[in-house]
Amino acid sequence: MTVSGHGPGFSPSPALMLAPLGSCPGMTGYGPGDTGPGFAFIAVEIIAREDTGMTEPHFMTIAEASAAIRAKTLSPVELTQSFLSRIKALDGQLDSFLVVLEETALAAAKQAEREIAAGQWKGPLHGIPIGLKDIYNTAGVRTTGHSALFRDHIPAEDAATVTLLREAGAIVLGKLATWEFAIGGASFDLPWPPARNPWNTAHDPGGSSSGSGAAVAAGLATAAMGTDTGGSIRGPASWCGIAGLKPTYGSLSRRGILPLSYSLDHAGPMCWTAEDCALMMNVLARHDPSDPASAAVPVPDFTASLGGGLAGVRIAVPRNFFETDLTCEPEVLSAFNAALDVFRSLGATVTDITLPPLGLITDLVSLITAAEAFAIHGQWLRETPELYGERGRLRIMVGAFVSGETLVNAHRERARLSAIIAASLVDADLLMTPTRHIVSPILGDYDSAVGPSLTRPFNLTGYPALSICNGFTSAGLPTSLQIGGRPFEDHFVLKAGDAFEKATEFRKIRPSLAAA
Amino acid sequence: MTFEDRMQAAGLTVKPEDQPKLAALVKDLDRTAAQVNAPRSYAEEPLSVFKPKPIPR
Repeated sequence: MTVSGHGPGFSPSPALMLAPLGSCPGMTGYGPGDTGPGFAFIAVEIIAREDTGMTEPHFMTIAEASAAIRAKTLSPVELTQSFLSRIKALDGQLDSFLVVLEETALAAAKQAEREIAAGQWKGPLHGIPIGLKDIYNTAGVRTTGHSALFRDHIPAEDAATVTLLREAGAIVLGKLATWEFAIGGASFDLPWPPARNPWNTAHDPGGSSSGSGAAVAAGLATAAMGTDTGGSIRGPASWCGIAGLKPTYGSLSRRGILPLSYSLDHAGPMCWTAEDCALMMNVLARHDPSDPASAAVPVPDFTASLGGGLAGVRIAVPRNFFETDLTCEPEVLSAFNAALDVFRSLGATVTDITLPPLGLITDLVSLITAAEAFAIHGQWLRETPELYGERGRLRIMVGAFVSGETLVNAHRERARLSAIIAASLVDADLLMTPTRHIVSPILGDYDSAVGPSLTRPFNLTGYPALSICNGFTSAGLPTSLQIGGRPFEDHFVLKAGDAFEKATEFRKIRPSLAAA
Repeated sequence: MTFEDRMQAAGLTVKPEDQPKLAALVKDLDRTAAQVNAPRSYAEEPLSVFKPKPIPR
């Protein structure tokens, strides 16, 4: 595709290079002489021209695009058009979009351009094109949950978070692929195909916010919204190499988002960087009296604490999670330990701790999810089970077998385990683990419902957790780091993620997709 | 109570080929249920306790 009008010397087509991963800070496990898999080269896309330092618009972060829009060197209309052209050219390889809203996106972009030209800049999201996981209600636009059951579901109102994004001037490009009702896993028996991973389209982008992860990584949207009940923001953020924040439970309204599990569902941003997640959070974190879980707490400026070092920050690492309860792939573990060295170099201290077995935490979240999901879907599953895909149908149906006694005791066990995890954050500021114990597998080969999950502890507690990219394997697939924190200290989690990203080079590497 | 009885009590029907897959999921769930239904103090409260909110005047 050609992008024009964005400054002198702009390259219409991305160049390819071979990047020595061992040269990236924080990737010491991959260099020659290390214990890792050896010196690795992958095909990557140069996203900044050496002569101007200017990033192509579709690969700009929110922070970069917003600065250019405000300075009137980048037009929201051109930016939106560049994404629409790119989606047309490339999304056939990714299937990340279920619906592209070309007309309304361009109309919103023109409106943003007029407003900014008239001096009515609304803030950093003004004129920024985003995508929405297709469980966010959109007024007058089909919201399917990626399911035949909701094929004709056209909501009358936007989800509360979508309203906030539009009010901030964000431009909705379209609706993004998900697992069926955010639980069904990558499925091939639904009306739309599953999304694919832009780092290797034979691979799984993770889920359930699969389209959100794929689209942001591939430069088909500047940012996206996901949801996370057991890891559905952080999982695809991990496998697609982007930043994804599961905020503290109650920080973002869930009103107008198709529910899966009332006590575990979280809405959250998925972006290229932690800084961009902070910019999104400044718009999204609001008390909503119409969401029973919404917390009436003071909302900080999520960008205010970004920058600077991490002197004195105490990091606790529950190694039992990924060294005894679960076996990490060697490259995942190497990248994680290398990331801890980066944090040490930024002034943080790192201490290993032991938390309750990850398998118990995972099973508990699965049980509560199944019971709450069945309360929502029970009637449809009795009347029209054939409208579900196999994985979604079975994963929700199992909730019919949870007794009242068991569900109450599950919430008692949840309280007990949450108290233990809370105690671990008295003498520590952050908890860190790999986000996933493996990198992206071949699409369809992996059943995410099986085995312990490193993301679930933060759904159980409702505490904030951020996934960021911390390297690449010898096969060119992203590895990831999960940073968890104390409730309502999302800004601190983002500060740590931002510090890591700025101390390393991993945000300079993008997947390369060629137009078919 | 057999698996089939439990299916019937829940009002669910599944395709014959799905039944073993669902039964396997239920087996996992029953294992978790046995863990959470372990003896507890009567005073141990669930996280999901009801929290009434004041009504503004």
